[in-house]
Formats: sequence, C-alpha cells, structure tokens
Amino acid sequence: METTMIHEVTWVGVAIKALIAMLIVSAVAGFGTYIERKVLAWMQRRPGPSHVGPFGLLQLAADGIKLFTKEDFIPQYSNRLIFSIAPVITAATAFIALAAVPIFPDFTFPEWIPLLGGVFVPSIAADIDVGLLFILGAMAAGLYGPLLAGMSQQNKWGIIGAARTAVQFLSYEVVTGLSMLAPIMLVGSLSLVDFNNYQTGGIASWMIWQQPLAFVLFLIAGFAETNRTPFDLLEHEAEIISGFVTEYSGLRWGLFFVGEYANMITIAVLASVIFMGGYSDFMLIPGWLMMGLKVTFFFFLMLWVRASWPHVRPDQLMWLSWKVLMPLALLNVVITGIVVMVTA
Amino acid sequence: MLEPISVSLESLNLITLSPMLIAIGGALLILLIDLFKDNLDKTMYVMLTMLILFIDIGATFSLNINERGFFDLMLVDGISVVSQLIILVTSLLFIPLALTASNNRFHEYSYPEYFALFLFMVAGLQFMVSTDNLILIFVGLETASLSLYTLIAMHNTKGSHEAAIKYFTMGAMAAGFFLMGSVVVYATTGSVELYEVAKILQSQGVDGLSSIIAPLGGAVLMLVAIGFKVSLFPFHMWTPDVYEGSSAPMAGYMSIVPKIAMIVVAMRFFGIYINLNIEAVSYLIIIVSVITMTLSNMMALVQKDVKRMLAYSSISHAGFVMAALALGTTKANSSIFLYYGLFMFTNLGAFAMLWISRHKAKRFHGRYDHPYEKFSGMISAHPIAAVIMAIFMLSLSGIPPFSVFWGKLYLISSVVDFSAATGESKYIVLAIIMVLNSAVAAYYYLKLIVYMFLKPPVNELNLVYTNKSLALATVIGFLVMATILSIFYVQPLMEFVTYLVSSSGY
Amino acid sequence: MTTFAFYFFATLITLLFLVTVLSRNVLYAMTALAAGMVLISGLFFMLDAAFLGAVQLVVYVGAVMALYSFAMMFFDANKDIKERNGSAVTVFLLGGAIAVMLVVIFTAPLIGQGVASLYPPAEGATNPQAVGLVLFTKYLVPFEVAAVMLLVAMISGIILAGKKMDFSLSVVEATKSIDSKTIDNMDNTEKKGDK
Repeated sequence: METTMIHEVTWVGVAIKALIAMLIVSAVAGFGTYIERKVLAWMQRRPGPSHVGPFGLLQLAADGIKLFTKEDFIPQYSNRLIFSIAPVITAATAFIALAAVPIFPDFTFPEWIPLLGGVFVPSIAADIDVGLLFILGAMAAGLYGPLLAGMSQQNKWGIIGAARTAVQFLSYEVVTGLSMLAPIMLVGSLSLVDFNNYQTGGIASWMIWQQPLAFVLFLIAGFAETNRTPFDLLEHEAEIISGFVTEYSGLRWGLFFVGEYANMITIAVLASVIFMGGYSDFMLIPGWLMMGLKVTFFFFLMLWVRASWPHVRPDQLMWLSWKVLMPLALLNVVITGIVVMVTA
Repeated sequence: MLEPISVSLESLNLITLSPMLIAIGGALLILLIDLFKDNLDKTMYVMLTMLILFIDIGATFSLNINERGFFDLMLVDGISVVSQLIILVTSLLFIPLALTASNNRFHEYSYPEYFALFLFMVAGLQFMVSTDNLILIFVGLETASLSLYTLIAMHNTKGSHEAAIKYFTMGAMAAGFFLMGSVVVYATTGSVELYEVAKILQSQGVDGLSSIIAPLGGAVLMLVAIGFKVSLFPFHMWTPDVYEGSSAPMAGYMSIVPKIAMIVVAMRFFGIYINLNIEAVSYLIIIVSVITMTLSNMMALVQKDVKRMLAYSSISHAGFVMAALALGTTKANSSIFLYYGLFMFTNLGAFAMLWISRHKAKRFHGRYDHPYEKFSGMISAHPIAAVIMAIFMLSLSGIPPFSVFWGKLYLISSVVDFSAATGESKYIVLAIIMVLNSAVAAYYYLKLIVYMFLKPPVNELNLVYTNKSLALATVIGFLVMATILSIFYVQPLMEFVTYLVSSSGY
Repeated sequence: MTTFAFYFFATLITLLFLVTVLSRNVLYAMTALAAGMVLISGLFFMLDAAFLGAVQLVVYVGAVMALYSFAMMFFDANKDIKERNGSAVTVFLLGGAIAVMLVVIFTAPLIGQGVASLYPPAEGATNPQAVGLVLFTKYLVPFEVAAVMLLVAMISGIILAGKKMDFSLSVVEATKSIDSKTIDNMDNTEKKGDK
C-alpha cells in the first residue's frame, strides 16, 4: 500500500477526531464517577462501591443501566422545550470548549496500522488564533445550561440554583480571565499550542514558576467554574435540594453530569497546558503520557479538595471572588506588565 | 514576531488632551480623598471641584487652535475651545449651588462621589466636542450621559428616580440611533473620521439617487440621536418630566451643557452635508426646528408649574438655535455660541431662583414644586427676589437690554443675512417665524411676572426662600449682573466667538 | 462551503431573532437571543475576525445575556407576557415602513462603490495582533475613555444600590438631629454590613 503523508487538516479528520474525543470524554466522565466515589471512600476510610463486579468496577454499568431505564420526567407546569434543551446545552458547550484544547502532541499513525497508517493527526481539533478566548467564551456559554434548567422548571429550588449559577459563574469568569492574562502577556499569544511551545525546556521552564499566583487563582476559579466543592453551591443538597437539577431525572440528569466532568477535564487540561508544560516530553516519559499524568493529577486534586474542605457560604463565595481574588489577579497583571516592560 | 512600533512623544501632541485629563484626574483625586478621609464637609469638595474647573479653564485657554493630536484623533479647533469654555463656565457656576443653607441638606450633596461623577461628566463632554472621530464622540457622550443619569437620580426623590429612568431610556435610544447613523456613514465611506468622510463624500459625488440614499439615511439617523439629546420636536417628550423630577440647578444645567456639546457634534456632522450643498438636510433641520419652537411654545402656555414652563421654554430655545445651524454660515454658527453663552446666565439664574425656593414638602400643590401660585404676591414679601426673577423672565423673553435679547438679535440677523446673500425669500419667512415665536413666548414669561407683581399672596410666603444661603445669593447676584450688563460685553464676546469659529472654518 | 455556511448562519440568526421579537414567553425570547449571539460569533469566525468572534462569545453570551437572564429572574419566566398594542394596523404599517427604510439605508452602500479600508492591518499580524495594534495606537484614547465610562458605571451602580439611598434627605423635612445622627448611623451600619 502506498502511503502518503497527509499533513493538512481535512474536514473528515476533524469530524472523526471530534467524535472520538467526545466518546472518550463521555466514557471518562462515566468512569470519573467511579473514581470519585472510590477516592472519596479511600480518603474517608470506607470501602466505597465494592459489590458489583471486581472492586465495584461494574458499578459504572449498573449506574448506566439505571439512568437509561429511569422514567424521563418533565414537570407539568415547566417549560417543556427549554427544560429538555438545557442539559444538552451544558454538555454541548463543554465539548465545544474542549475542541480548542490540545490534549496530545501531534502524531502520525505508524505505518503498520491498516487504513490509518501514515495519517497525520494534529494536536488540536481547531487551532485558532484566539484559542484561550474561545475556550473562555464557550465555557461562559455553558452557564446557560444550569440557568435555563433552573428557570424552566417552575420550582423554587431550581430558580435559586439558577440565580446562584449566574452570580457564581459571572464572578469567577472575571478571575479566570484575569489570572490567564498574565501568562498570556508572557507568551504573547492566545493559542494554546504557543503556550506549549513556550515551555518546552523541561520543568524549569514551566509557567508555574513564573506565575505561581496566577496558577493558584486559576485553580480556585476553575473549581468555582466547574462547580466543585468547596464552591458547589449551585446544587448544594443541604440548602437547595439539588438546585437546578432538582426536577431532572434519567438521561437528562446524566447529561448534566457528563457536561460537568467534561468541564473538569477542560480545566485540568488548561491548567496543565498553561502552567505545567503541556504535552512536551519529559525525560523518558513521552508527551502524551505526561499529559495524561498531569490531567489525572488535577482530577485527583479536585477529589482531594472535595474530601478535605467544607462548603463555603454564598456570601463568602462572592467576598472571595470580588474582594480577594480579583484584586490579586489585577495586581498580578500589573506586576507582570511592569516586569515585561522592564525586561523587554 | 512583529516589529515593535515606536511613536515619538512629540507627534502625539499630548497637550490637546490636557483639559480632559485635568477633569479626570480631579475626579480620581476626589475619590481618593474620600477613600482616605471620611465625613469631610461638602464645602471642601465644592471648593476642590471649583479649583479643578478653574485649572481646566486655564488649560483650555492655553490650547493652540487648529491642532490635531494623538494620531489625528483629537481636534482642537475654535468651536471645540468655545464650547469647552461654555461647558466649564456653566459648571463653575453650577457647582456652588450645592452650598444651600446649612439646615437644609439635599441628598446628592452628601456624597463626595457626586462631585467626582460631575467631573467625569465634564471630561466626557469635553472629549465629545474636541474630536471629529465618531467613536470617541460616542464614548465621550456615553460617559457624560451615564454620569448625568446618576447625578439626576442621586437627588433621591420619587420624581428624580422617574426622571433618571426616563432619561436613561431615552438616552439608550439616542445611543442606538447614533450608532446606527455612524454605521451607515462608515459603510458608505469606510471611515469614522468626519474629515475623511467629508473628503470621500466629496470625491464620490452625491448627485445620483443611489449615491445619496446612504448619506441621507445616515443624516436622518444622526438627527434622531441629536434630536433626543438636544430635545427637538418628535423626541422632546422626555424633557419636561425629566426637568421636573431632577433638582432645579441640575435641570438648568441640563438645558445648557449637554445640549451645547451635542450641538457642536451636529455642527461638525451636518457641516459636511451643508458644505456639499445637500439641501434636503438643511430643510429637514429647519422644519424640525420650526416645529420644535412653535409646538413647545404652545405647550409652555398651558403649564401650571414654573419648572415645566421653563423646560418647554428651553426646548423652544433649542429649536431656535437649530434653525441657525442649518444655515452653516460663520455668522450663524458664532451666534449659536453667543446665544448659548448668554442664555446660560439667564437660564441658570432662573433655575437657581427656583432652587432657593425649593422646600422638601410640597406646600402649594399636590404634585408640583413650583406652581405659579407659589410666586403670587412675591413683590410684597420678597421684593428683591421678585425683581431678580422678573429680570430673568424678561431676559428669557428677549426684551432688551437683557442678555438673551442679544443672542436672539444676532441669531435672527444671521438668518436675514443668509436670505439676503442667497437671495431666497423663504429664509425671511423663517426669520419671521422666529420673531413671532419670541412674541408668543413672552406671554408665558410675563405670566409669572404678573403673578409675582399683581396677584395677592396665597399663604405663608415667608417660608418660600428656605434654601437661601450666602453662596447661592452670590451666584445669583453674579448671574443677574451678567444678564443686566450684557450690553457692555456682548460686542467683544461676539468678536471673540467669531474669531474662534471662523478660524476653524465653520 | 463559505457561501453555504453564511446562508445557514444568516437564516438561523434571523429566525432566532424573530423568535426573540415575536415570542410572548421571556424564556424563549432570552434563549433565542443568546443562541443568536452565539451564531453571530460564527459569522465573525467566517470573516477571519477570530478575535471579534471570541469577544462576541465572551461579552454578549457570557456577560450581557447572563445579566439579562439574571434580571429575568424577577419575573415569572414561564408565563406569557401580555402585550398591549393600541392599534395593530398602525403598529404594523409604521413598523413595516421603518423596517423597509432601514433596509434600504443599510443596503444602499453595498450597491455603491466598494469601500476600501483606510488603515490596512500591519503586515504579518495575526488577527488578535492586528486588533491590538490599532487599539493601542490610534484608538488608545477612546479605549481609555471607555475605561472611564465603566468606572462611572461602577460608581453609579454602587451609589444607587447603596443603603444610603434608602433614606432621602431631599424628601424628609430634616431637623438637624435626624439629619446628622441618622446619616452617621447609616454610614456605620454600611461599613459593618459589608458583603
């Protein structure tokens, strides 16, 4: 078979890649629930899921079957159309954001693989000039999922959850944007591939050493944007039943979960690419494995924090965002600006 | 990587920015002072604001005329300087009106931010008049408008909230129309800089129907935006309500300063069309302005509240001025500025007289603060105040030798001159309409005088001027002097204005 | 491909905005408007104005529309709005006439001569860089004035929503004792009750 190196990005290639990424992320999201329960259980000294299958691994399948067979319930006085669209928005925006995130280095399929041999796969589905801004925008659009869900279901817990969503996402988007701004100023580009190339020189060249404050701010804001403890006020069970997901059941509820896990992965990937050297090789470990390790680490961190910290109150959340994190982020931007100006 | 760009500091001509920077810096200073030291007396802030405005006036005077700065974005020409001076002098006379009697505090003055927002507004207006870039005009306009809405609402009465929301809604509409007009202009010529627009329109030619539609549409959209802000005929409805709701000095201020800034924008924008001899635009402006002055005079006749009457009268004055704007001659343009310069003393004075008679409870009428009855028989209780009010009213109606008379004289004579120069008799008709309108207007101004001098008092008149203080009396004294003595300074003032206006080619 | 994409986007945007205008349900109107805003950013991407596209997403979808929806929580989102139209014929005729006129005005420049850009972008600059170059040279002043405008808006918002506005000095016939004491107390409570 004659092999030709196809270096251009074809529509078919992008579509296939998008499909694969979507499937993988959905699967990981499902698997993530298992990991989450297992890790939390380990940290809290209890066995966690252990009855279904070896180490409770088949719990995943059991959950899936339960979700699929559950009655898909739409409350009588809710706005049916919006109610059904809302979970799709959450999942879709999460995947759209993921489209501009590079997960693995560029690679070419080895020759021995039939059919695909020699096909070049770029690191990113769509390497646009404004990758970071696009991700921010797509994640910002993700706000409509919870918001519309809460507003359409004619339920007071839903509306409170929706209100909290609007407030929390808007506030923390500011922090995310500002904390990313300082690294952007250093790299001089909004493309994540450029970010990766900026940090190819081993651990010492990682952005985290130059921008420790931005890293911390980004992580905190990332927790808030993905709705993780200690900032999971949107569906805080003890206060507002389940917030915007109160009336959801079955697959629609599952879609919210998939969206949330996809967002967690996006944030983990972003943190790895922006601050931790991205997918460049590290000593003997190849880039793709490094990336997997880093993402796993951040995922684990989210669970770790969840097991260790209690919720904050909504007013503390706002206070933290506007009176602590935002001024710090601004200060960081100003200092970075001065340093860049002096050293340039 | 791109080559770094280097721009020499001299080429930026930063001095053209200095007046606005002083105002903005002053506003930030006030905010900082408030941050570090609470509960300072408002007198301190009043004086600080006046000081900043003084420095601002000095900076404006020191500008060289006909210079561009900052990548040709800033344009300091004669009409920019003269309108900035009008804005600043009015502000300087407006700010001390905050010093009401110490037992009579008003809500807005308890905030230091009031003065900061005021200075931001002044800076916004100054940006608006000293550029011919539609983008900068727009941002300046919005900065000024946002501050103004807040300044109105800070009076914190039911009426002032209503006024602020009405003005905000109308302002949002105006902003929308301004943007649409700008978009049409940009789509036609590929530029938002008016001097480029003029050049391109000139070279494109505006003869055929297809090439005229877009510029005309832009002009119409722009006229709507300007009409909202200057309160021209179909877009004037907000004015009486907003003036009634806001505090009296604020109403007086609004009838002068935002309007003069918008008139400068109109002069720059419609100047292009008038220079290209697109007659439709001039006719449109003239028709709108004739309806404006006539209709608002009719409405003013039936008002029961002096403040609403003054609001309608200010609409009619604006219509008067817009009629001259359509001519585009140097004399017409300079008499517009002269008119506003003289009108400013009188109108601010009239509103200041209402301000010192403001009390917190509505004693004379269920709805209005200043019904005509409040002033009846004032000559016996407050003779001096009655005489001062009468002088302001006489001046507003255009009776010589008070200030507005000279404004009207120059304005109407510029119309007559234009008709003589072009040999078109229809402009004589315009002049006659303007004179007739002045005559009609005299009726409602004299009505107040009749109430003050000829009617018997209604009830406890001694409570009317609760708001008086030495500071207010000083300002009003100055204003009344400027109104009476205008005969002595109107000639040099006109020469100065004509010099500035003609030097920039308007 | 591009032509198809344009018509696809344009049709969808028009339909969505029609829903926004015609729907009597605020929830539909808001969702349609937000979705239309997302699709408009698609138009920007097609024009190679990637920066504007992303900004459209962040600003309109992420911020402006979110604020709209926040305001909408004060209403019952699932109820239809009753609109009061005085005379449907007049509204229709006037609205239609204005719409036709606007269309004529806005399309007129397209029929005329093509418009060239007066300030071509710098050589070799990517889209965000080109935007940045213009924004921080020629348009620095409007940029900064816009910053002042936002500061003004912020101050205004804080003042008008503040606790001090609950009590109006302009209405109450204030004797001195109420005046200074109440205000001082209010100042203190405001400081304590910081959120």
